[in-house]
Amino acid sequence: MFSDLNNLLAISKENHLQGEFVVISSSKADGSFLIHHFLSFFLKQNKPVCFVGFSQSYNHYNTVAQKLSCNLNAAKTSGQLVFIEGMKLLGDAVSGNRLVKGDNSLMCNTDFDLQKFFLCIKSSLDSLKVNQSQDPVLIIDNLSFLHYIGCSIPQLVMFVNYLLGKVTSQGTGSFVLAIYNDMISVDEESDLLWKNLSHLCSLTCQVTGLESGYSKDVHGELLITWRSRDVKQSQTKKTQFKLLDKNVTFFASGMSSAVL
Amino acid sequence: MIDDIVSGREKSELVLLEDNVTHSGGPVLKSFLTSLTQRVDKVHYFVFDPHPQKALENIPSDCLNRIEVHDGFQDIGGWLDSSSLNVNTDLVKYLENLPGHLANQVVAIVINSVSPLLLHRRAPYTCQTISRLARQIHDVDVEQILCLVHQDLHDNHDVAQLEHMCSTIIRIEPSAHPQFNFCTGILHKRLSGKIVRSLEHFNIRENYEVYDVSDVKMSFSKPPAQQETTIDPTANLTFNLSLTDEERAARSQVKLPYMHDENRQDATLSKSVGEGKIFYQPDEADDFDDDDPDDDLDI
Repeated sequence: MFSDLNNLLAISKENHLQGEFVVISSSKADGSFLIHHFLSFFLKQNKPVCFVGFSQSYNHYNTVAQKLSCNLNAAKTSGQLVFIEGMKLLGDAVSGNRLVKGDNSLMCNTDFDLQKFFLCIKSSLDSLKVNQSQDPVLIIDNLSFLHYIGCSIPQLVMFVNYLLGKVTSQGTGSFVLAIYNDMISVDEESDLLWKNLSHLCSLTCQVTGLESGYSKDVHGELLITWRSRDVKQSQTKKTQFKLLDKNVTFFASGMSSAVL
Repeated sequence: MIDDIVSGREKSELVLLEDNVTHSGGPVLKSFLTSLTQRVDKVHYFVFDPHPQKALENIPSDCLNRIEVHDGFQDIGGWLDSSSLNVNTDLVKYLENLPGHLANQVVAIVINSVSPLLLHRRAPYTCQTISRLARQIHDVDVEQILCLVHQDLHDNHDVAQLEHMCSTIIRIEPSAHPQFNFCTGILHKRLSGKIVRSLEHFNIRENYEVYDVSDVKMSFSKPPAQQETTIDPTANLTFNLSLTDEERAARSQVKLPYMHDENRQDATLSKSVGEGKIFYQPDEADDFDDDDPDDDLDI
């Protein structure tokens, strides 16, 4: 959990993203630190969390969480965390492997069946809610993998619609979703997915690499946008960041200690 | 113009409201909703996009009893229960089969938004549905249909199809003035057939009343402004490239050394005797170019 990031996102003790939908996009830079942040942040707030990991294995998330002084194993045993191994599901879907038999298989005529997958996540969320008597948080890292294995954009938008309806319908759950969106070489499909999600969400975090290329001292830029709600205008903040071993530092553009 | 359309003083059967990610059309849609509740018996509000709670946030409570919300968001694809309202539902039949459906009512229909219909059911279906809603609901007089569309999610072709059907198109534009929160470009087709275009700035009150409407100069005044901005490369130079008339006259007076000049010829002839001199007097066929004296050389 990075306290600087909480300040940037205007997260305080009273407001920790209840009922909000956060979309994180990465382009030419690694935005996964935001996912690790949100995972450890919500666990430390004693919120029940359902995590779907498509981009890394459970061990990876666990190792990073330990660095942020958060124990995923303990949370898992106590029932606070449900981890869905997305990588296995992707492997099954791509290879047509029917090893997972019966109702658990998300395969349906070699297509990844999003409807079945939604029902699977929904049952995890429902059991979390019953056991922890709190509205759960759903984190998906990263939705673009479902696009890469062939799910169409309308299907994915519908899938997100359902998850959003499920998680935030009571106004207390939260939904964090990461995607890849290469802004520079314009990929129309992922751009369309990004725009659709931006219309649904309340907060977007765009992580982009520097235009001038890789730098050892500045790892990228973060653009935070709170979407306009009602008569209020949308608010944006732009900052540059550098990832450290156990922390991340933020500074205004061009104000890196390496430059000054 | 925008206040006339919102309040119903300017009649319009089908209104299309176009917004995008950075400029949300939500507040304008809510202005229409509150105004429609004053004019009709019932407003049927189809919500496909955000949560119905959020879609009704901050609407004055005295308006709410005339708004009937139809939630198409919770089960948008019919995954949970195919009989509930979803993108595959025939909206005309759905309205006709409502339990509270009363004949001879004046109703308005608001769809927030048609983007899911366009995304999942394509444009021809969406256009057909909207036009049937306007004309084919049994025994019901439809005062106005308002559709919100997120125009950045669709290609221009799909949006153009919708635009052709509508009598008013309101596009949310970025506001150029800090004292105005909203700016809309309007294309309104009057019942008489006259087409009116305008670009307006305005603000919206907490109770969704439109105020402070002011016209922005139309975009056709822009071309002259662009001509002005064509850059003159000879401006701002540290030296002078052009000549004034006086300077040009002065230049023509200058006698160059190789030119015929009687005074100088006489002076030279009288001064030096026995030395060979060449004097050249250009004839008519010679073409002297002051700027490039060597141009007759074949280099």
